[in-house]
Amino acid sequence: MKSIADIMAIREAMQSQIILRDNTDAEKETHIVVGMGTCGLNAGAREVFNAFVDEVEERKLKGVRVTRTGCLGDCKNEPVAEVHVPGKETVRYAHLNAEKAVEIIEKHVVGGKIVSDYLLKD
Amino acid sequence: MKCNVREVSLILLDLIENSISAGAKHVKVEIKVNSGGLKLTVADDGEGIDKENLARIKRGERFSTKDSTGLGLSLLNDETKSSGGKLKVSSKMNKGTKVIATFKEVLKIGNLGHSVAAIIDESYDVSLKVKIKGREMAFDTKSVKAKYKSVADMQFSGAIREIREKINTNLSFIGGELI
Repeated sequence: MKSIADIMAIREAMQSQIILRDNTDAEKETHIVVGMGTCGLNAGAREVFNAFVDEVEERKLKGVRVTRTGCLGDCKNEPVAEVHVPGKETVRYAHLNAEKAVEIIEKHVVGGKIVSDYLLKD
Repeated sequence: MKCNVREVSLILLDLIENSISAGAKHVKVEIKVNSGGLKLTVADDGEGIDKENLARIKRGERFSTKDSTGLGLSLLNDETKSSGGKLKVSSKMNKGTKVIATFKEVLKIGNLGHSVAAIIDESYDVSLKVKIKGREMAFDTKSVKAKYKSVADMQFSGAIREIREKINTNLSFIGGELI
């Protein structure tokens, strides 16, 4: 027979399932798109991608999705990533690394303020 | 002349990118290592490469298309040659493309887990097989995705991190060099 603790644990697990199920609208998701063409990969884009994913997990961020795309056409500025927050203009960051990725999640995705130091400059 | 060959797990990620750009729904990756060297095969069911471009690739020519800079394959061509091996690209329009890169040295496979983490996506499936001198490991994105509601969920819940770690552990276990 299940103890009260067991039942509470099951209920808690189900609650988080319910919350996740409600968040099905991809259009409402913030997308972080990392350019992973040859230049990007050579400059460390793979590590940037994984840094973003780890930070999403670390901060338990719902409604944020990290994806890859091919070459974003900025070989000299790689690694490059775009941040699409629904309803806001797309922002492109350049010369990224794992530490900057973490900062972007903290300041831009969570805090709502663009990190101007890391913006792609033409 | 020897050029610096990239880590194999980065090369395969580069090739998978090509497959994705070509609209592939399935990509099959195989790495085979024995004392003679390493063979990397990436086969996809994407739109294929036309005869003209295939000929240019065979000539080692670097050219760009709307989807790619062409750097990846021309770099790979140089890398295989510098290691005494070769690059073979075959393709059929609307059927798919197969890239086989052979190296006459046992190259470092590198951070395979990190590479796999980057290609878990709803729009395509990747299967991976690594054989190192008779020891084998396999992974496919389709079966892991089946356990989750979405890739966003997998990222949020730490499943991606787990997969990454498991792949690298398995790779070490069968004798692959991570770093």
